[in-house]
Amino acid sequence: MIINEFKIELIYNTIFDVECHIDNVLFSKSKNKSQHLFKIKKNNIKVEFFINPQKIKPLIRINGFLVNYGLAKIMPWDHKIEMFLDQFFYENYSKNIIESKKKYLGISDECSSDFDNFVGYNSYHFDIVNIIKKEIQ
Amino acid sequence: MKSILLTSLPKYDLSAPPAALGVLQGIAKSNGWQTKIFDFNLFLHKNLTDEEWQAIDNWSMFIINDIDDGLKKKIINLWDLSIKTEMLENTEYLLISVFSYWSLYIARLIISNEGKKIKPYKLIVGGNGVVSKFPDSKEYFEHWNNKNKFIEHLIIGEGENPLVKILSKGRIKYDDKNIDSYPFPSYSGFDFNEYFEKKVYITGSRGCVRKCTFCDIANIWPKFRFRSAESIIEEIKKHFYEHGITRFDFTDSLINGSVSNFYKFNCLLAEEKQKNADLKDIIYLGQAICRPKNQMLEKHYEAMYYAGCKQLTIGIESFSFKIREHMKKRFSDKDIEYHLEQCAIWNIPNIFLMICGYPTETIEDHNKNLQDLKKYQLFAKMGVIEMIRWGTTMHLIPDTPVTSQKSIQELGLVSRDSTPIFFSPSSSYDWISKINPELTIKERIRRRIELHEATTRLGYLQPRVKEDLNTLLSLAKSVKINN
Repeated sequence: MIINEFKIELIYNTIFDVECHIDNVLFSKSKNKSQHLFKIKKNNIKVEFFINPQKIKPLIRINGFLVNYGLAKIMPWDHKIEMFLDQFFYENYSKNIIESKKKYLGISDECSSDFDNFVGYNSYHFDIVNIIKKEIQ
Repeated sequence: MKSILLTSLPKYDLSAPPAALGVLQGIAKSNGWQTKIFDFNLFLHKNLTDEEWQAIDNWSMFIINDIDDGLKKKIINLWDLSIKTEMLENTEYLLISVFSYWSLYIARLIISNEGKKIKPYKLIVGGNGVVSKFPDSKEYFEHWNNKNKFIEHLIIGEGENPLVKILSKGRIKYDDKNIDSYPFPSYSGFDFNEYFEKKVYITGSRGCVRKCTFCDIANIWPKFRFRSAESIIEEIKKHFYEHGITRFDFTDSLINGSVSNFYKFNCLLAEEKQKNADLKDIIYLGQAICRPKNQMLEKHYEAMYYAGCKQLTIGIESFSFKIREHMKKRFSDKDIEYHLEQCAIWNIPNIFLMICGYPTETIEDHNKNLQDLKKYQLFAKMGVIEMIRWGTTMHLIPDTPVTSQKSIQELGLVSRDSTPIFFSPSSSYDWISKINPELTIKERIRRRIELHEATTRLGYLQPRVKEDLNTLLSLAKSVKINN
């Protein structure tokens, strides 16, 4: 799933200002709101949101999805929020979900029964499926 | 001090202490009884091989009619040994919770064994399983006990008042219409490290506001009753402060049965977490129904987020509206889209529960399932559909609307050998519908495999799918043998 446009919302429970920089160049400013929206039709970019007042960690939605900072590889600094956005954002987010489940569950082997029981990604089980297909032929 | 040993029978998931024991221990303790807890399901799982555990799984789900005598003996020996070890000297009652319909065969084995003993304690048996009938003998559990007199106190239906009546010798009575009147459950005596997750089950309501055709909940709880939001929050705080529990899984058939009470619960919990930083890590999970926009407003989803809702299990069952309509699910494709959009906005993951091979399912309905798996793929990638469970194939349960006499006649449901449904236990899986004759057991298995392949290819998470496939394989083999 390839993305060509990013709609990024920053939301907080108090009013704040945001300056959006793309690859170190000012892209857009948004002031005096609790909810800011930026539409970016670029790819493979570094995006920095400079926030005032500082030390705010707003909710971030990307294309309608409230994202987890860690899974989206968003770096929160005191004065800015930094992220890299590319066309494979959804794929990478999905991969990070799997990795984080593995870490949380203490599973390192994707061939293990624990991975199958508790994560269940890519669980084709061709061996069992092929036998079932033969049985019902 | 008088004491009671509380135990529960397989088979159910091992992720947390069984809720029934928590509830019943709460009643015993609040009435001055000394309690001892023993989770036999967990104990058996630790003492059987994987093959033996799978055999019990197949037996419990009536895929096979029996297990070999060696395994039965092993189960009985483990039971006898552990009851002897766990029982306190002054134990007056052994309470056995028969969790569900799936526990019936093992309950019969264990309780028959207990019936042969000369023992200093009396048996109390209850649970959802005891309202059902044994698939092989077609005899109701209660009738079987009346004949054999194994159990001194068989509790049919909810356990709170019957148990407190026994323990208080009739002096105490709760108000069944107001489930706030029951004591809070107690999880003391459980070693949370033995379970996969450190969490407890919590009940906010009983019964359901829907009458889905495949479901038997209405037999157990004909009326929908719910606790006050304040009471649920007090119980959450109790378990947090007593055991450090921050994760609460609701046992409710649906947590949004009363939309207004559910909204109030979320708002109050969010407020508590704001007021008291101790509680900030509290999260909850639960089953819910998909509701349209005019019933579950956008602010409801926001409130769920701030309260700490971390997962909803939704019975979507089929992506075909026609099938859902027959099931009496009462939500449209647009409602599913709205629900997923709101869950995306507030990062609320879902488990989608699905059924393959409902009696009226045509190939077009099946193709709609395949189509919409693709349609919702992005939600799966982003974790909004955190996982999807297709189970095996449609399993007919007695005493549900779809297996009522009227429905059996309308749908023309018979076993594959044309004997009536439930004449043999295998007919719960191996049935045909005369109005939809193409949907044979082989075709259901074929569709299920096709769904499995599509679901996996599209990147959906399907935990424990190997178990489902092994069950399908047992089914496929038994179909071949019976051909």
